[in-house]
Amino acid sequence: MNPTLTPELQLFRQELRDLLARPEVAAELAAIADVPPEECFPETVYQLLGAHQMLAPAWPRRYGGRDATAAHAAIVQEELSGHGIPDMPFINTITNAGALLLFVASAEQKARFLPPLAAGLGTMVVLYSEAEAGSDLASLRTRAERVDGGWRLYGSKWYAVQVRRAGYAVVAARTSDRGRAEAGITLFLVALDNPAVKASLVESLYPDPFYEVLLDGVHVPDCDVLGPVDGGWFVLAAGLAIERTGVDYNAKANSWLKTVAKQVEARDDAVLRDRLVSLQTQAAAGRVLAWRLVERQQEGDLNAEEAAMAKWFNSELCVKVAQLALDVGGPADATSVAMLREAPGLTLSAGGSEIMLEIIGSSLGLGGTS
Amino acid sequence: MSAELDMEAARDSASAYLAAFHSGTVADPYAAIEHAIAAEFLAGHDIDEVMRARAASPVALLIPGHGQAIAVGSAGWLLAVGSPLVLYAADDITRQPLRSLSEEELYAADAGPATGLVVCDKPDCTACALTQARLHSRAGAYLCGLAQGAVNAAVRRVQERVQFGRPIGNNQAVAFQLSALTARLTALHALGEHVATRIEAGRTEAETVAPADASRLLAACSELAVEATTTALHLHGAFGLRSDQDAQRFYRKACAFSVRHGTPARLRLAGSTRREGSR
Repeated sequence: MNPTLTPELQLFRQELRDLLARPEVAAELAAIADVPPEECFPETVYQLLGAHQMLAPAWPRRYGGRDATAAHAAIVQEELSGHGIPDMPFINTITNAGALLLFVASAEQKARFLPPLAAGLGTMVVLYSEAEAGSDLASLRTRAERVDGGWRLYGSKWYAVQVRRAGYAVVAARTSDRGRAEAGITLFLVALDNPAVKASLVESLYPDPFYEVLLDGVHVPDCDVLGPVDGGWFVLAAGLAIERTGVDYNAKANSWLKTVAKQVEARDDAVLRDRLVSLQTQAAAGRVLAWRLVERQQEGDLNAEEAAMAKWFNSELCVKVAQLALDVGGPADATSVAMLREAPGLTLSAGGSEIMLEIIGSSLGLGGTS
Repeated sequence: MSAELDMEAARDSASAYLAAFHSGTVADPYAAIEHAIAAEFLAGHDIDEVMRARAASPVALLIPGHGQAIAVGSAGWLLAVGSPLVLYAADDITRQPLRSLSEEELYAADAGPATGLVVCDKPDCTACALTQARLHSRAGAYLCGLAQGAVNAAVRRVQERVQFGRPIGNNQAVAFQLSALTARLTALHALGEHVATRIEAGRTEAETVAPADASRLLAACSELAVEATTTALHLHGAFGLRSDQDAQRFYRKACAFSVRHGTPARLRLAGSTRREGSR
């Protein structure tokens, strides 16, 4: 029940699999198997893919891509998950920050920032959420004050992941209090090695360490303002919709299901087997839906409510797979522990489930917001 | 068969899937779907003139379930699905009308001493397996259609029904149920179309769709149809129970036909063994 891929995409997948079959990939995965998540960056693998323009294939050649399509990018996501290669740096750097830069950055910014990301040499994160601003991003409190030649940022960002390794972060901050709350927000590219940026670890259930990032008057030059001043919220709203196909969440559900399936097959339990087959069918449905959106993305025709459906469906599916893993392996099994720690974050990240349901409901004419 | 012809078959199958889905959305009789499949069972085999003439008149499928063989809709001929595949004249066998939740004509049939005409006795017949997969995919499409029809009706109802001074659909507790069902339906419907296309295309290509996929799809559609029509009925309030309301019609049909080809768990179990498709 796999999506039908063109011969060219099948070749691309095979080329990628051949790369990932190289011995240095297995060696690095073995080496980082017991490394704590924050140190867990498979740089050899990322740089190998980067050297073959396969980390960000949809990007233009001049920025280290292949001028390929969203479908190629979706294949990379599926294969990283399928091979058990940590994909948090990929999702943050390429799918989130990189795609946003490609969408809104100036030509000079793209030329400066994108090539090292596509080469697997650097990573980038996004810092949007705050203690008091999650789903309601327009209520954020981080402020940017105009200074000579740029801006100074004050505030604190929460629930940031992948911060330690990243060179830069995309930061959303308030630049104006006039008009609607949404209208006074600007995006900045902030160098994280600046002494006015302090990251501190927040202990959490989530396997990837959370950081609180304090911005204590960090100076951002005008050349690092991303997109229009005061137009950041609208850029994000549009940018999130174009990247939300659900492929990453579905790839995770499928890779988890593969692991759980092996455990179920080793047991002679008809009930567990039935639940497994049921979730496999749902995962197949989630995959066809996500791939349909990838096709739309290629045509520049991704609609927000279907994107919300794919994100909601596939992230909720991950939660169900984790619950099956618990029933199969119990609470001390390494597999179920890893899934149960990660799953709750999936229905919150990149638009929580209720926000997705709100978008879908609104398209149906429900919820009183339409 | 040439690749070109095969693509045509794939398109036909996808459009048959969509037609079945559409008939569900308006709660058309389910019997028509099985009558069409019965004709495809017969067309898929080398049958003589006499049998071909019979196939031209309505043939209903006779499928075992809950301790008896049951047919849906009136027809002069009954095709007992399984191995062997046997065609009976309706008049030759004992039929007992059933009071079904579906409001469609259902009857239990007992072949007794009637021998019927053996259409196929090959245990691993590919035409039988293919038609069985089509049956499961189209029954799934119909059930998905029922779910969609029920959700559409519920959306209209909660937009219009005013309580406490506002439409009840303004409440997230109501709206989110319909949002979630819509997302699940959209995903499953996409899979259904995909499987329907692959069932045909797989006949010549390496990447085949096993009958198991159609059974698993049907299992998922059955479960969603019962859940969606139950929720939609509930959101209508007691008004939805009235006999002139579509909400109860969708619910009746979803419940009745969700177990027509075996319970969802049974379908998944059958789907996980190699022998699926032969009863």
